[in-house]
Amino acid sequence: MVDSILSLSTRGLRDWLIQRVTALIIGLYAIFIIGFIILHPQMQFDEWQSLFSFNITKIFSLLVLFSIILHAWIGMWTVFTDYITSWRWRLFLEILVAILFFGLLAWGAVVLWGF
Amino acid sequence: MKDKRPVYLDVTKYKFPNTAIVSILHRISGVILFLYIPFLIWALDTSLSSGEHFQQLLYNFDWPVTKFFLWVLLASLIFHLVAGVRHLFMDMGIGETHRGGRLGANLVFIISLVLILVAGIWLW
Repeated sequence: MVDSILSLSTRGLRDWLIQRVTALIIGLYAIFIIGFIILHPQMQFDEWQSLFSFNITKIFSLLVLFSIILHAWIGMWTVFTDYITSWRWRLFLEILVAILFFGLLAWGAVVLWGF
Repeated sequence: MKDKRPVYLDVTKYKFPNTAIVSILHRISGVILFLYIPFLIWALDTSLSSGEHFQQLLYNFDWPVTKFFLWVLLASLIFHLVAGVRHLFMDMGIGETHRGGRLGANLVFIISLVLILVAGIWLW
């Protein structure tokens, strides 16, 4: 019998792991961006735009937006499950948030590659 | 099995330990950050679209109202991050005892409060 403690087929464990991995990615990015802003007082447009002109920055930013959305999805699911007792309302809100998240991800991609 | 005995549930009269306050604030700050996502994408879009837009955005960030708006964002981010780091420590088995949990919660309060004040000073 294979020890399946880390098989990610169980919802709770998978959510727990996603929450940790995405948190680390977002935390690193937040420190990176805020650090860049602190290290560049009186920053001009050119410096800011050149930072985001690198493909590595665009891909990292998109990865972070995706991580934020996964992280927020699990977080909002937890909040809805705890406070919204009507399953109809819960389902409605979860669908609404899922559509919103898809739109935000698409918008973010357009912003990152559209300038 | 339905319990017919009356239950006293006046939440306003409970005395919450610091661990519970950190927990609920972690949740509230998370929901606030969720609400900020569209603003963040919009701000990035505006800041990258042109030099004039970039300058206009920085100019608008100088208003007291928008500064407060940004400070709420930073405060939520800082608290959520610090309380999240405590979670990672607890995942590693650190600060899981009754006393360790209380100490960790108090540390979260102290560290995030200092960082939130620093963020406020930096903004203003």
